[in-house]
Amino acid sequence: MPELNELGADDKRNTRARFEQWVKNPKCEANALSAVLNIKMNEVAKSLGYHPEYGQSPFAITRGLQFEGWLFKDQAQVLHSALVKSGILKEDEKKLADFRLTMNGGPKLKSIDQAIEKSLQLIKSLANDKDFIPPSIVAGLTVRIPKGVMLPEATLIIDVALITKLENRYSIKVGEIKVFPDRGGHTDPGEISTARAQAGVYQHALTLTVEALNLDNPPKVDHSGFLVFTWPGSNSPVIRPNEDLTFQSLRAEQGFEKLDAIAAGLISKKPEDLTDHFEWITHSKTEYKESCWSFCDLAARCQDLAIADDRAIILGRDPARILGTVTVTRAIELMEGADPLTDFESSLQVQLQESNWEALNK
Amino acid sequence: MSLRELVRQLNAVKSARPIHRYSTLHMRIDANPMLVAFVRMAGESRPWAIAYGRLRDETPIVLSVPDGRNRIAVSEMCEEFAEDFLEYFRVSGYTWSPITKDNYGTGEIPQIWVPSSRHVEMFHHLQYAYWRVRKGDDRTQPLTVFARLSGWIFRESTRLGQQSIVDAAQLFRNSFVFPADSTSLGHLGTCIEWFDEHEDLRSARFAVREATLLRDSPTLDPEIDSKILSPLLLSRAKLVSEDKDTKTVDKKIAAHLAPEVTRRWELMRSAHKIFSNDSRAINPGVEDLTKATMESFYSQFQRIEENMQDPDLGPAYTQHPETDFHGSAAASNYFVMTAADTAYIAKLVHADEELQAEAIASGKAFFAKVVKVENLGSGRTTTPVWTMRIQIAERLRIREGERYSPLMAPLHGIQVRSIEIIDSENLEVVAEWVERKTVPLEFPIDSKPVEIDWVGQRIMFVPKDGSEFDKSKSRAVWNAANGPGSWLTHGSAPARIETSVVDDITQLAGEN
Repeated sequence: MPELNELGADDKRNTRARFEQWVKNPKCEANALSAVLNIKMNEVAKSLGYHPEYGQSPFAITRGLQFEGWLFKDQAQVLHSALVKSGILKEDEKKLADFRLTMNGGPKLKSIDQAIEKSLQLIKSLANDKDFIPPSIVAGLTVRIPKGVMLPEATLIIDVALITKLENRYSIKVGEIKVFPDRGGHTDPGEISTARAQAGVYQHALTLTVEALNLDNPPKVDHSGFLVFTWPGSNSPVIRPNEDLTFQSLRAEQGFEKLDAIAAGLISKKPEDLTDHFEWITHSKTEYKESCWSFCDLAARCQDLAIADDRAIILGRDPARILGTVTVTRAIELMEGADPLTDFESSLQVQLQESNWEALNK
Repeated sequence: MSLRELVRQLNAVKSARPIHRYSTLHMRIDANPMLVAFVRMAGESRPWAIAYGRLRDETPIVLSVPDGRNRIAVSEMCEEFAEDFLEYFRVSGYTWSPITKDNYGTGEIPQIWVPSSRHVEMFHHLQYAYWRVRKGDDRTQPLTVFARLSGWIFRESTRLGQQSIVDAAQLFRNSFVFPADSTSLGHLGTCIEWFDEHEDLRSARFAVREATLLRDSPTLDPEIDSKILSPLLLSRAKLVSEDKDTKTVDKKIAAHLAPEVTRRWELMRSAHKIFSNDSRAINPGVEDLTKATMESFYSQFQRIEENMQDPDLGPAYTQHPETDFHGSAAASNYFVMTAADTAYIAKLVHADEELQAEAIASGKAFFAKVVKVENLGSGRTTTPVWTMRIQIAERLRIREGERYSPLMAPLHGIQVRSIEIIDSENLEVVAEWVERKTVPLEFPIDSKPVEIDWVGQRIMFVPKDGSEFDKSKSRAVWNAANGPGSWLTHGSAPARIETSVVDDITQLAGEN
């Protein structure tokens, strides 16, 4: 199996972000390549003369950092009290282990390697050390997935984890922190599902890590997690406890495996004459859809191609599903009585004409 | 998506521009509504700048604060906006001519326009920001009243058929069919651009895409944030830390925010112009929907404000931004929403051919040929019963017991007594006239339902407006407070109410 290093790509970018990017449009070869080769789409878009749009506001980044800083300030007093209020932590479970890097507001650790070492040490102590008094809250628990073509030594930093004592072993519960305002039933469903999906990726990564350590009495990775949002307009945390992450974790597991397989396939198919990765992505097959605008800087270019090809996707996902490979112009011709050339066209024509009955009756 | 919708989209492609979705407009277009647009700092939920003003004002009033994270400054800005806003909504205590129980039936309802759904959500955020009061606080302060009004606006915006809050982008989507995907139509600038003159469809598409680059949501373009506003705020923070004057930099921030929020406001003026010039008539059913909005405004908001102004009128209840934490309130509101849902199509369908076609296509309406007319009344009572033939359609949803009105006669009503399949193509339906059974119909012939002239006539029946039934259920929920099972339905709410917040549910129940 080819290694990523053979392609000259590195792992600078957030693994989870790359994974989520691929999940948003797994059928798009260019998108998969961008995730696998770890090349940002905005760079590709720029190279094609398009103006990328998906930068993040510095205010949003600052807000996120401030919120997280506020939660973990003074031995995570604010977070602890919110967790106690929501019933997933007891009042006396107060101890904090902060593995965040100093650049992210952490107290001591300077590098990812240090964070990983500390995290592994903690997990091992939970299994072996009977006298160990573990922290209840862990900030920045950092794990590395030891496999994959696309993700060699993928590193994942878990926002927050809770350690609680079960009968004869410990349990670790993952949490995801977001500055999204929690508005009860009105909370943006997209934002909730993003947070759940991310927590699922972390839970899966933690499970892999614990399994790889092959411990005698390993800590249990809880199938449920929790989300930390904000009360609208303030820095007060709102906890969504007991989020069942079983299926999100499964999705992550299957997704990583599938992405690895796709990565292997793509790499083996690399054209000889395309040495430049940008060129490679540019010449790959794309699968344009409306939702591409929400995450991909290449969406404008793909829309251009769809317009040029007169594909039904320019009218939206549902028309594309109904019309299949029939172009928009051809669909109009069929609706207006052109002779169908295939069985599918015949069937489509009947349906379109029935739905356009006033026009036919005029 | 229905095939009918696809056909409409293909017709829009053929025209290379938006086409009418329905043959009438389903929203009242106020001649001089208030237009409101917000800008907020990324990551924040309170506004950073607000542009508001009446349509005919030409230019809006623009308010902004130097730093959108400064809560005190933001609340002062919101208070300034609140006072004008409350006056416009004729809120009790903030105007000389409030909407009252005696005058709310006039149909003169305030209407606000916002560019898109994200701006509607801002009202929910504003409710969250300012709704809390502590025991003993004056609950008639502008900001808290404004928070309650914002809450009503947000809730009302989700009630089908409401006529007070216009999400301009949504109004475009509801009124026109575009040769484009629906996601792009969440942007008001996009919708408007489709109405400009373009060489052909291809150039229209590119022009539309250019329009989307200028944001209409409350959050600014990250490029503006990082290149302009972030450096200004950093230098401001430095000045503040050095205890120096920030006026110059504050002015610069305001000067950059103003065009952004004003552009969003101007988009609504352009949108209003398109609807004012629309050749379609406003559906006559909108009048009833407007009355329902007024009822909602009065009963869900203004009545409570009156009670807060004068506690002798009874207990006042403040709705929590998330939910009511009260089973009976939830049940009652559920029926209110169901009533709105039921009434919407029933009120509008009689005057809208496209809605009628849609109702037929979805099986909610049907054509019937009268084959027999009987009078099954005894003595002086008249009970016309019709036997009708209906062609079997794939999606016909007719059921025994359901009520329908003949087209153009919404107050008349039949109830289906029996349905029988008589051959592979036809159903035989027996229906009894149950409403206005002695009043003549005017369409397609002028005759009473009991008259034999109806035999041989082909008539379209549409769903009967059953919203009054739902409304009575809504009232019945409250009336059942002393009935059987009230311990279950009207017991104390297991409320997650903040201890610092006045427990209005308790007050409403009269326990305090």
